[in-house]
Amino acid sequence: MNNRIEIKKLTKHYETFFLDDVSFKVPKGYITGFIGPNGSGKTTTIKSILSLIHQYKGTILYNGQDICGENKSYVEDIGIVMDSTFLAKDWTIKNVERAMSVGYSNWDQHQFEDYLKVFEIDQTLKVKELSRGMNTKLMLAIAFSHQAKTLILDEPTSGLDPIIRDEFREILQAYVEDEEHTVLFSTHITQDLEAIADYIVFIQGGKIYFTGSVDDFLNRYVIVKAGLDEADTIEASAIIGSRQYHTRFEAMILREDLPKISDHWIVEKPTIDQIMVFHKRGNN
Amino acid sequence: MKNIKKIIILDFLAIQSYLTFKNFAIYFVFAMLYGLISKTPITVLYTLSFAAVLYSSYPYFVGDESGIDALYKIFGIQAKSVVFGRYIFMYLMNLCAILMGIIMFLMINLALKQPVQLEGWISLSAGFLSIFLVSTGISLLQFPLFFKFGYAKGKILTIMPMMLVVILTAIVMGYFGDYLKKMNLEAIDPISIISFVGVVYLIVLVVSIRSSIFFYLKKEL
Repeated sequence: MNNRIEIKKLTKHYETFFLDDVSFKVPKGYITGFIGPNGSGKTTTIKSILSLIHQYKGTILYNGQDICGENKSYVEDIGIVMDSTFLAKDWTIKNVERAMSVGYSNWDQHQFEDYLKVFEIDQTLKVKELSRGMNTKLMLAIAFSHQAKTLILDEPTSGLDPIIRDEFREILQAYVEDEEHTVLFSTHITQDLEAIADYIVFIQGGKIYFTGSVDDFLNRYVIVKAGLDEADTIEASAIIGSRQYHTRFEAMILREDLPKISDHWIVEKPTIDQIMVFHKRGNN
Repeated sequence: MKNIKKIIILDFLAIQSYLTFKNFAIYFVFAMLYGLISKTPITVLYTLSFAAVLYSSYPYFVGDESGIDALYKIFGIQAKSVVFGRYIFMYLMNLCAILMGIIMFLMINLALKQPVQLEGWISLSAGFLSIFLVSTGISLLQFPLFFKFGYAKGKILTIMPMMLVVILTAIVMGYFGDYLKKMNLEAIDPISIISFVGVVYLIVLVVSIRSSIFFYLKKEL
């Protein structure tokens, strides 16, 4: 079993948005970054994996088993850090501990207490009194204390300061040192992924644009720059996204289309952020 | 059954912050004072049953506010177990309210020096049971709407089935009032009345649970 999660032709319609034949795999033992602009379908996909959404077409496999059944015990194997904590706002940390010990069959109270100390979470505070960063750490402490083999993180680092984000990345890297552990990390803050992700799934407008290793993703595209007077020399069909300044022009194209432009264009390797931005901009 | 037990404990934890000594004291003092001043001790049961209806709806309120329904799904608890757990939790709340109400009822009776005779206990028991059926009946009307729309919207929409009951009662009384008076209801066998009420209550219970399961299975979080 090489894939922890496998999504096949996931389609979900809303009035203003739809997921269109989304298919990708989350390999076991690695960190997979799930990237895309806001509103691209990341959270809908994640909610489908967690069975929070169930009226969709397509198949989702967890450890090779179809999740579309009455038995949802597979979710216990997943640690979740989402934008919202799902914890009652008036709960104290003690209440959180009690609720988790009721909910998770393999809950380890001592481990939770240890993580609270490691993450320096003030146990006298209520959930609503915790900062955004502390809430994220609390969810991580919960995830690690019920022996989750998979971590699904939905925008966990948005709103966190760089120090906590760096700390967070270290925690994830330590987590995947165990080959049984897998991470699916959805974010639009792509610097986090460039540092730690092994694979990338890129979604935009409900469609998957890329799925593969980070290196392949970054090597797939190039950014080319030239003077504005040379802009017309590039084939429009090759341009994925472009940007025009007063005197210069830059575009993102597939690396394989490089021979289509003249030698004196400046060629640069894009960042994940730039790939997303150019994809979104299109060729205007 | 294991998951239903989980839901009862989790729902209790969810509303625990509202089950404060201060809140209990307010209900206790208000119920006792009203019972003493009105010299009708049974009013304490109305007050406490009202509190039970209110408190058994709080898990939906916390669900709206914090998304604990999603948490239950993340625990791998099936929708049916959540529904059954909520109904059992509601019955437990009402049972506690009735038991506390009876204790307070006896305290007021003692204070008013109105000992209850044996014959009085039979009609009082019928009264306690009626209050229990009415208060749980209100929840039976509320719960499917809470499961479908959540607490805030469901609470507003709850008024509709209650209005429907009132309107239907008014229509029945308007058209059949004279006929009912002629029927001499007191002469009807109490067993028949109890059976009729029991059957109606059971139908409402089954419809309520089935609707709640139907709505909750469809609900996406």
